[in-house]
Amino acid sequence: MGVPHRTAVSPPGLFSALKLISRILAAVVGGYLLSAGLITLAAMALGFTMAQSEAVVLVSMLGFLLYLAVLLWSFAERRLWRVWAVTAGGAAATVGLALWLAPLLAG
Amino acid sequence: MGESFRQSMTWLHSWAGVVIGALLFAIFWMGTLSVFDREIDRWMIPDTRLSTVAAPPSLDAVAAVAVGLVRPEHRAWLATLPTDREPVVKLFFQDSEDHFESRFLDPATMALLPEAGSWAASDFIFPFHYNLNLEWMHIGYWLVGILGMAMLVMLTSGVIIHHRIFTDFFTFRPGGKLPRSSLDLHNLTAVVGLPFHFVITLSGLIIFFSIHFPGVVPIVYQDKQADFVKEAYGVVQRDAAGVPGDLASLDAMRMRASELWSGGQPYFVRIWHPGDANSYVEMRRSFPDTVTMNLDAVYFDGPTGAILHTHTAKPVMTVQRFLSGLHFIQFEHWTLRWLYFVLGLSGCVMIAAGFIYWLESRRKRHAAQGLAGVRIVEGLAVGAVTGIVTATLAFFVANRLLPTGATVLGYERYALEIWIFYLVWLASFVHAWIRPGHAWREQGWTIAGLAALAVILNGVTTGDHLVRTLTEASWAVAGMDLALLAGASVAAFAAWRLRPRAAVSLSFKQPAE
Repeated sequence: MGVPHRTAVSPPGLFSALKLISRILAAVVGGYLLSAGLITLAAMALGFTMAQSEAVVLVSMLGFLLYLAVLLWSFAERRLWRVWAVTAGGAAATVGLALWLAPLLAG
Repeated sequence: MGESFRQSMTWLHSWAGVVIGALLFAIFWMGTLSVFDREIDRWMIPDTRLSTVAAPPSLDAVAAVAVGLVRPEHRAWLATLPTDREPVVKLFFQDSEDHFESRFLDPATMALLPEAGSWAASDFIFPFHYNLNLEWMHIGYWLVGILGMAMLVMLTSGVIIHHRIFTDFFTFRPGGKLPRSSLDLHNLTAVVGLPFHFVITLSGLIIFFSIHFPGVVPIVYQDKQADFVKEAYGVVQRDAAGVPGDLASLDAMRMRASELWSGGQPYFVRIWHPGDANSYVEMRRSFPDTVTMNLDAVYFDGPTGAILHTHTAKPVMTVQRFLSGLHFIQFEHWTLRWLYFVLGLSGCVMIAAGFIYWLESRRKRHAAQGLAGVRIVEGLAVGAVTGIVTATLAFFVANRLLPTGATVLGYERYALEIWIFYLVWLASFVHAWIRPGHAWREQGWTIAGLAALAVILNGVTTGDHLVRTLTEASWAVAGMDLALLAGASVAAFAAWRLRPRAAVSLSFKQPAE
């Protein structure tokens, strides 16, 4: 990556710029959808132990801390493909599962 | 990214900071001012500089005035009751698209006050803080939410990249080289204010959880989303009958509510479907002496006054309302209110010092390599820091100069004030890019001049000069004037320290009201 340490002398090339944009997308968008998917599943699970509205509020509050952790990890993980696999892959799995389960639970 | 975890966090911290620092400063600045939103309202809307009334006004008397102002398109009207900080009854009329029109009442006489002619702090500065006044599609809330998350990322990565948090608590070397002293100041304000910055940012996000995670309720509740609003917030609805009906005594309903709340009082009352046989009354309990903004509510049948529904928040929701209360500081506590203000300003200083460190640690290298980065970011930083302060002061000065009922090109008085704010802010960026090396100083002098002018104009146009407001203990107006004078002094001192021949001891511009 084009790390602008104080010793860096050249601006980042096109390829590393694209890799950076890709990482930001995976972290910000993928990480958000992963967090939203996880908390939706958690809200449905916790709905069995407390009022459903309470479960929604609880997981939504924790969702911001979860998203924070995912964001930091996405910039710390060196292998870009793993960032994409976890955020985008995890988002698709959790959101998909939530969308499939919700009508069954509500019905 | 860097080789190690700490290096990648350093990279993230400096680049996220420089990209979003400008908007983050705007949000911190407007949030800091919002701590004293009611006081700024009094200063900007002189008709509301009333003395506090001892007893709450009769709700039936308020209703008698409100009924005369209700139009067919209004599906509800509501009134917020006077407090020590807001000595007026605020009447709002809510249409079917949830747009609100407002008018103020003098609670002592029930006389309607003239139209405000200004969005002041409650309707401009405060909403700017949480949605940048971009209402469309919630885009402003989303932008502020993204910035809030970025702030959390920077606070956490900032802690991670630190070698010596404890030492930084006591380290400030103002006499050193500018990169050194600006980094010291950035670290000092960040470390001292860290708990505040983290909690204020996280609670700000948590307030709008339903906007930031909009999918959870629709997915979990499917077609029963109204159940969530009822369970969580105690909101109930009833359709209008389409037949006229009377309204029972609101004062009697208030007594019933107060009995249910063991002496608690409503801070607002709302009449849904006014004049209809199915009208109903919503009362919500005030929270002057608790951090938690309770959700206690009682709904009454309008024509009979019978209780339809009561609500109290459940435990998790109470936690959410506690965190919201930490952020909104609606409780009455002047010492804490000032502490919030000071910590808010320290957040502004932290962001500004971060900018200056970024600039000064790159200035020589960029000059040597012919890079434009420092020049671009410096213009951004000047416009973001001194520029928004200048624009805010221009907003205050315009408020005192524009005559009542002024219109230009079809824009009403309140809109002209807002136009002046944005045009001055824009001009400050242009100025910063045209005058590199001079912009900090020149905008510093502008801030000092505008702040002093605002104090003079307040005295001239309203007669409430400092001698009078201080002797009559009119603290809201006196406090605003004194804060403006303090800000003018700080800005003038900083601008004087930045005078050209003393370039080495470049001083630090403290944003102040």
